[in-house]
Amino acid sequence: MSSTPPSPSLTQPPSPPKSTPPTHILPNTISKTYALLHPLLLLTLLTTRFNALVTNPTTELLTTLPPLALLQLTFAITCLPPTGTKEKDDEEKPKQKPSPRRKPPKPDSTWFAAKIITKPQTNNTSSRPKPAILSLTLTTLLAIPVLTILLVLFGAPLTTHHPQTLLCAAHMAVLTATALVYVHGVDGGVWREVWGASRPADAVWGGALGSCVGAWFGAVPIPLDWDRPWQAFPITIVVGAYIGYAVGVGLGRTVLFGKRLKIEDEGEGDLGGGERRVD
Amino acid sequence: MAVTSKWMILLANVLVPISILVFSSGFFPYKPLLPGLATYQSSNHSHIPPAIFDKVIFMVVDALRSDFVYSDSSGFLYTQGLIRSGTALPFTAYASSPTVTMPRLKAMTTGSVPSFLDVILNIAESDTSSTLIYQDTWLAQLKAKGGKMVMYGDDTWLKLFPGMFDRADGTTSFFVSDFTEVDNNVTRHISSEVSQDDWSAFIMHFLGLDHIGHKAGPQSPYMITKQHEMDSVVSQVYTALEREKHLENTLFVLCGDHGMNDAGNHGGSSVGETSPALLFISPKFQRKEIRNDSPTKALSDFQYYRTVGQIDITPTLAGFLGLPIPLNSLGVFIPELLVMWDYGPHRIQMLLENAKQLLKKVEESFPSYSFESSLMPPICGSESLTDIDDVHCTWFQVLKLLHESGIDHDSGAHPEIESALLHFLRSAQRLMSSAASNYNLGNLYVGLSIAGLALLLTFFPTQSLLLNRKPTGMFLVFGILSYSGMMFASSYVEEEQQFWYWILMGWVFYLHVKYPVYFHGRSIQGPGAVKGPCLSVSILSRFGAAALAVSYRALRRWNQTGQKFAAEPDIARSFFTSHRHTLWALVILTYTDTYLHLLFDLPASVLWGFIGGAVTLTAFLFKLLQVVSDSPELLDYSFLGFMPMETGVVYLIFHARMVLCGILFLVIFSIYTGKTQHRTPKNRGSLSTIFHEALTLLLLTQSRVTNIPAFLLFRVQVNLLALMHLSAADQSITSLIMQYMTFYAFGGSNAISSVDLSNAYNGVGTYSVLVVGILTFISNWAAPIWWVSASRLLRSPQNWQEKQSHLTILTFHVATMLMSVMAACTMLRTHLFIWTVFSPKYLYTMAWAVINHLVVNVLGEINWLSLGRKEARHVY
Repeated sequence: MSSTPPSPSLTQPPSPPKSTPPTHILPNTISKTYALLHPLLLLTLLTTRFNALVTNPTTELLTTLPPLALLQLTFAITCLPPTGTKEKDDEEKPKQKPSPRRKPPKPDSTWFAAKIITKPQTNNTSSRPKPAILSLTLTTLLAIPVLTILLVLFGAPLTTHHPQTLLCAAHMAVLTATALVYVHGVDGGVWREVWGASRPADAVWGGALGSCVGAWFGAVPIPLDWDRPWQAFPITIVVGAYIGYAVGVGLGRTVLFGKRLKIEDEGEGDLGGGERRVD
Repeated sequence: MAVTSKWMILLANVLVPISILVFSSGFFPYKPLLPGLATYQSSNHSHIPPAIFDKVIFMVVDALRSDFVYSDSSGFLYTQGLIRSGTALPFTAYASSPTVTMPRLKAMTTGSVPSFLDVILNIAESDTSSTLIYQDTWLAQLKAKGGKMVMYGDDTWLKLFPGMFDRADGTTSFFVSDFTEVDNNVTRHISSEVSQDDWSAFIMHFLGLDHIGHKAGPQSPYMITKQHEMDSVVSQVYTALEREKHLENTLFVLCGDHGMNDAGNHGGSSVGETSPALLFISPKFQRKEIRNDSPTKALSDFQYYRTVGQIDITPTLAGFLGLPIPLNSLGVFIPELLVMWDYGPHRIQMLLENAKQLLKKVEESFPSYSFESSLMPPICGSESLTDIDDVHCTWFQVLKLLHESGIDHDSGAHPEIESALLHFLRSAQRLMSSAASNYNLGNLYVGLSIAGLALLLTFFPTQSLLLNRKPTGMFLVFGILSYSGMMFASSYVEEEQQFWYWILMGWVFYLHVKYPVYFHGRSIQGPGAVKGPCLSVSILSRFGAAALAVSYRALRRWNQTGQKFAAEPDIARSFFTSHRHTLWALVILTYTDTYLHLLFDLPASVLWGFIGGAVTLTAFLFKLLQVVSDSPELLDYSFLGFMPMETGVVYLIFHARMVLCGILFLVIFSIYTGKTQHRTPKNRGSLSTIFHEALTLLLLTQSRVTNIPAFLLFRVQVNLLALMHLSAADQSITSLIMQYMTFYAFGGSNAISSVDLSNAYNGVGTYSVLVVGILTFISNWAAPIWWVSASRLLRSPQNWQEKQSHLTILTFHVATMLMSVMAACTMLRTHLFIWTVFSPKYLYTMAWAVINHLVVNVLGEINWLSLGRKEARHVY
């Protein structure tokens, strides 16, 4: 209780090789302003539609899904470098804002990403619709099923509430995956890091992890015996995911930028923990 | 430093039971009741209403929930006929928590609200300090009048009233696997007793219906048969009332002592448990022409007809039988039955007698209020009155009305006085029933401080242990702090399983990040970790934590427990009852899996293979026969349905003993091989030892059949965890979380009613508190015990220092849990749910801390064999 710091353990990255560096918000005024506004916009959407969400969760989740996807795409297109242009952006960035903790050996991102995305990276502006379409397709086809499975594993009903679970997963998928796919495409290394939850923090990954953690905390009020309509299954989870997203984006691009969620015993220079593992 | 922390942990573990003892002595005070017998409140005997009846037949059917008699699916057809004809007056009698037999009998006979301590005494049945022999009851009053008493059925009556009954035949109430003998033992006495005219009270207490509930639930096919049987008893008694001359002034009361919940258990405060039926039956009622419809549609809230309090039985019986109302009664004469006095003033006298008796109790508890003077307190006109002020004012209202109508109350204004009296009686009853127990606050604080000291002692060793493992330490502190905070919220206590499922998934995510197995390319080939028949595990393990998550998701749905979602479908009660082939295939697979493990551990010879097989087969057959005799519906239409054999209870006892002997033999053998273990290194670091497999067999025997397949999942989980090569601290936390999580997954909860007694009598011939207690613990904590043993194997090449750090973490958790539960009970001691939610949680915490922590975890950690070897060396 006393000596443990309150934040989750985010230690400095011990610079693992060939890791895609964290993404910066595009360096222009519009992008920077909108990146600030976007989480607030989402929270406003949530608060204005909250009553409707409580009254009829399924319909409301369904009708707000397209606007949400639109907002997320707008955010991605306005504020983030599309996939394939990353290298360029990343080479520019250190000049403007020297970041001390990254010296990434960039060119060999991954074979997988390279194979697919090498062609269209010449023109910066025309390369935006393609990542956007890719982002929407992959979010729908892959992220929604994966998040549905995750929701069920974390306790969502398996035999009932199918539309609710699916729509909740859809909202979370749009929140988490749209920007990730838009920025990273199908870069295997990045997605490996996403699976291991070891991406360095930035607005994109912060929002993704934040909305998942938020959804986890969103389950807390469900067992209370208050008998309020908003305690019904997907509502608190969705709300938790939105709030977690906003917090995650905020923290990811500021104080936690570049840090990784790392869980290691031997972090403090004590060898006892490591040696004790007699495998 | 290591030495001091060792002593600190030891001291903390000694302090844990001490703090429990001190706290309990303050938390469960024995409510002192007034000794002696009541006399009439009115000095003038002409003011006493005449007796309506001179004899009573009091028939208690254990766990007779209201719908068992009143609903349209009931088997009480004759009784329903009596209700229609007006000879039986039906009520739903509210039985306050704790809804177990002994406190309910106390409530029905003394009219008082029993203390929570009675729950514990109800389980520790041999206790005789709880007798009612020195207390005022309607039985004692009847006896003092010179009447004879006879009693047949539940021997709780004999324990409550030693020496009270002139003829009696008691039956042990805790032997729940018997459905028929217990009741035949009562029924065979009826015909001879109704033909005798020497008794004033004839008490019957039938246990079979409750036993069916515990074993098979309210929907069991046995239930309707039992209801028909009970109905025929009613018919037999009623016919005698009409026929026999000496029974013409006899009141026949049929009631349940408590109800049952949807699982057939009781002890808590759900609406099913608190709503037993209550009927007053006599041909005399017919003249009053009170007609009720019967049967009625099944009601989900079980409130059929009018709901009265169970404690109201006492003053009602006293009034009918012409007895003074017992001293400690908080009951109110049931107003519907006042019609038995045709003469209005008699009714007033009855209520007045009741009011004066209840007033005495109020005056005793609130000595600062004066009920004597005739001046009405000025606050009475105002709106929001406190309870005691309300009682005070209504009493003056009564006095005023009585004064106006004259001393004899002969003339006019009867209905007005009646309603004023009833109003007073009800508010006084409400006030007195909710009056807080007189806790011994000093002991509460001392107990709390000792627990705090234990926590302090464990805090620094835990801190130094986890200082180097910040993430682990933070997870532990986060988990324990949120758990402690949760103890103060009644709904989180009721739904504690949700916390463990929730935190477990957080822990899985933690493990997933910390021990990535798949994409990060770390080698997953542990040195010989996958053994035996679990080849699929090695494929599963490529997904590491994800595979764990899948298995936890299945486990979490195994049994729905708690309050809010308890009725939703789950695997054990919904899926397996409709997929019996799957159930039995999985059960057989579990036993086979255990046998294969056993075969691997035992010396490789045909003889040992045969012995292992024989023990496993005996254990399996026992489970099968138990299902045949207790819940045969699980076998119907399954591929084992061809086994419709009838087995007697006696044979099952013998069979259970055989299983236990076989297991004991294996354990002794494992101790023998343990001594020569270093010569057979093939078992080192293995996830299976003879002891563990023998223990598994014992736990399978003590588990409900629908929970048995879960042990297969446990095996998979243990293998997955072994492949992850967790660090020592992570092992400890995993063990901790798994112990609690699986307890709830097996259907446990923090309600008394979820204590599973269906395996508490395996092999027990005569009731013994100790043996039944141990078996009850094992059957309810089967999964946690298994995980303690499995976690020991997972950590198996550990030195003493590592074991000590394991115990440090566990003790830290227990001390925190104990202290927060005690703090919650102290702070919320006047909370509405203190007896229904927080006290049961405290009882469960006692079991977790004393038995599961101290006995199973701490003593289980000691290497008894090496101790024995050391001692042996000393001897030589």
